[in-house]
Amino acid sequence: MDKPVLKVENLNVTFETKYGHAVAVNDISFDLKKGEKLGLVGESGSGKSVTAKSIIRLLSSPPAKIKGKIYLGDKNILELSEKEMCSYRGNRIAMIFQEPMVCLNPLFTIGHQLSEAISSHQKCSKKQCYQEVVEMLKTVGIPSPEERYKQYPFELSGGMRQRIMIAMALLCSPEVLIADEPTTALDVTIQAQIMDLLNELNKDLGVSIIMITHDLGVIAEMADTVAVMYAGNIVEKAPVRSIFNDPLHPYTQGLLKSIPTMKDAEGDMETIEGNVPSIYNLPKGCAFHNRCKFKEEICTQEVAPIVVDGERSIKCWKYTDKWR
Amino acid sequence: MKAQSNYDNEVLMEVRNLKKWFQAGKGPFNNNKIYVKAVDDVNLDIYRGETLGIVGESGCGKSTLARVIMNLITPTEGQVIFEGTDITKISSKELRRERKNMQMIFQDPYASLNPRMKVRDILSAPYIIHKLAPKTEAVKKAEEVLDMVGLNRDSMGKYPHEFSGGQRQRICIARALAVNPKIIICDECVSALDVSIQAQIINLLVKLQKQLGLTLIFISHDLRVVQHISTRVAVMYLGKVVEISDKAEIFTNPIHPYTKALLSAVPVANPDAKKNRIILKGDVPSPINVPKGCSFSTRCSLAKEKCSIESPELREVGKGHYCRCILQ
Repeated sequence: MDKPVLKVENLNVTFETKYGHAVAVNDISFDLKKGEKLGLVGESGSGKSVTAKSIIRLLSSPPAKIKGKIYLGDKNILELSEKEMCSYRGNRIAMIFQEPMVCLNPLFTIGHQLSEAISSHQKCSKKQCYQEVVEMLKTVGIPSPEERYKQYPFELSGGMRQRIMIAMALLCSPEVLIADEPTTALDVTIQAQIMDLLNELNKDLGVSIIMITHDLGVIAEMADTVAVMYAGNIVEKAPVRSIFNDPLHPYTQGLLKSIPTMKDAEGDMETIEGNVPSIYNLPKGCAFHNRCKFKEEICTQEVAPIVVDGERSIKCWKYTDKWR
Repeated sequence: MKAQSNYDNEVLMEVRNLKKWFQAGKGPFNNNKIYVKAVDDVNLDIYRGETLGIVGESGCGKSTLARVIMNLITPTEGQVIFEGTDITKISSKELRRERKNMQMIFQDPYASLNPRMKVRDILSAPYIIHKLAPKTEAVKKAEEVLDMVGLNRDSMGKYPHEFSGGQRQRICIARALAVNPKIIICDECVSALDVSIQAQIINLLVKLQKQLGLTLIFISHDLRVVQHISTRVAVMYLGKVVEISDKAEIFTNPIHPYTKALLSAVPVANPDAKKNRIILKGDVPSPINVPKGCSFSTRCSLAKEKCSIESPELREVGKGHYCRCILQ
C-alpha cells in the first residue's frame, strides 16, 4: 500500500474562552491515501471544521491550543514556521469553503484572484498565468472562460462561484484538497453538478479529498472512507459501504435512521433523544452515553478505547472484551 | 380553472390567480417598469387536515408565496379565500381577527424569537393580543402549550438564548399553537436543524397535526423531508407551480421534466443505489428575465422549438395530478 499523503496523529484542539475550557477536537487520528476521498460527517459543533482548519493551519493560536502531529508527506506541518506554512498552504494543501461569496474578494476580478494563486507560489510570466487560469476554468466547467476572467464575483451565480473556488484551490495541483461543506449553500440541482465535478477531478487529477459535510446523502455519493464525528471524537471510521450497510456505533446507527428517506415515508421517524452535549461540559466517560440506548455502567466512567477491525475502527465499549 | 376538483375533501383555503410582482426599477432606455415575478399566477386548493408540501430551489418564490398567503405582504393580484372570506380584501382589523386561524413558523428559530422576552411572555402574548384569556390565565395556558411541545415548565422563566436550536423551534411551534389555529404555514422550519433534531421536530409536528386536526403548508427545499411529512406536493419553478399531485404519485410517477431532474438530484444515503442522475445544465434564470414560453425551456433536455414560444397551462394529466408542460 502507498504511504499516506496526510497522516493525523492524536490531534487535540482546545480553546480557552471566557466561558471556560472548550474541547473541540478530542484525540483523533486518521490517514489519507493518495486519491482517496475521506468523508468527515457529523452534526454542527462536532468538530469537523476545527479539524479541517487545524490541518491547513488556519486556526489562530491562541485562543486555540493544538496538540498532536499532522504529517503532510514527511513533514509535521504543526512544527513549520508561518512562512514555511505559507509555501505549503494553497500549494500542496488547499481548501474550499462553504460560502463562496464570502471567500472571493468583491473588489478584484476573477482572473486577478486566480492568477494571484499561481504567482504567489510559482515564478510565472503574466501570459503563462493567463493561459493556466483559462485552462483551469475550462477544467472546472465554466463556459466562455476568457470572458469570466474579466468579471467580478458578484456577476456570477452561487454554483459558478463555487466552481471558481475549486479552480483556485486546484491551480497549484495540491496533494490534498479540503472541502468544507462545499455544496451546503447550493440548491440540489447545482449540488449535483458540483459533486459530479469533484468526483471527476479526483479521478482525473488524483487529488485526495477530505469532504466535510453534515449530509449523509452527499457522503454516500462522494466518499470512499467515512469518519463519523461526535462531540470532537471520531466515533467510527470505515469504508463507505460498511458504514451504510452495517453501522456499528450506536450514534452512527441513530444518525442513519433519522435521515428521512425517499422510500417508505410513513409513520414516525426514529430519533436520537436529547441534544448534543456542550463542548464546555462534556460528560464523563463516553461523550455519547447520555443519549445511548445501550449504555452500561462502564460507559459513564471511562472513555471508550478505539477497537480496530481490519479497515474499520470504532470507539465504543460495546465492541471490547469488557462488555458483558 | 379549478384545480384538484375531483378531491372529495372539504376545501379550507383557496388560492386564486395569486401574483406578487416586485418592482425592480426602470429600464435604461424607457419608462417601462421591470418586475420580479416572485409569485406568478398560482392556484391552489388546500384541504382541511392535509399537509401540502411546497418544494423548489432558492428563488422560486416559495417563501413569498407563504407570506402572500398569510397576507404579510399584499399580493399584486388574486385572491386568498379562507373559509369563504377573501382575506386580501378585508380591513386590517378584520385581518388581525383572521390571523388567529392562521399561524406561521419561520426558518430561523434564532431570529424569530425576541431575545429580550422570556418564554413566559412570548407564549402568553398571543392570548393577550387576541383577547383569548385575561393576563393571569394566559400564563397558565402558556404552560399547557409548552407541555404539548415537550418542553419542561422550568423553561418559562428563561430567555431564548438559553435554548438550543431544536428547543427554540419547539417554542416557535408552541407560540403558533397558542391561538388554536386552523392552518399553520411552516416556512423551512427544520432546515436550520441537525438531522437528529430535525427528526424530533418532524415527529412533533405530525403528532400535533393528528391530535389537533391541523392543516399544514410545509415549505422546504429538502425533498426527503417533504416526502416524509406531506400528503400532497406542489413543485415550484420561477414563481409558477409546475406540478402538483398526491405524494405517492409525484414521487413514483413525476411527469414534468423539472420534477424528474429535481428528484434525481437528491443525494441518496446509500452507496449502492443506482444513479440515473439527470444533471441540469446551467443555473436557474433570473426571475427578472424569465425565458419566453415555458420558463424551464432553457434548461430542459426535452425542449422542443414550440416550448420557447408557447407558454403552457397547468393541465390535468391524471386523477388530481396537474402538470405545466406542453409536451405531455
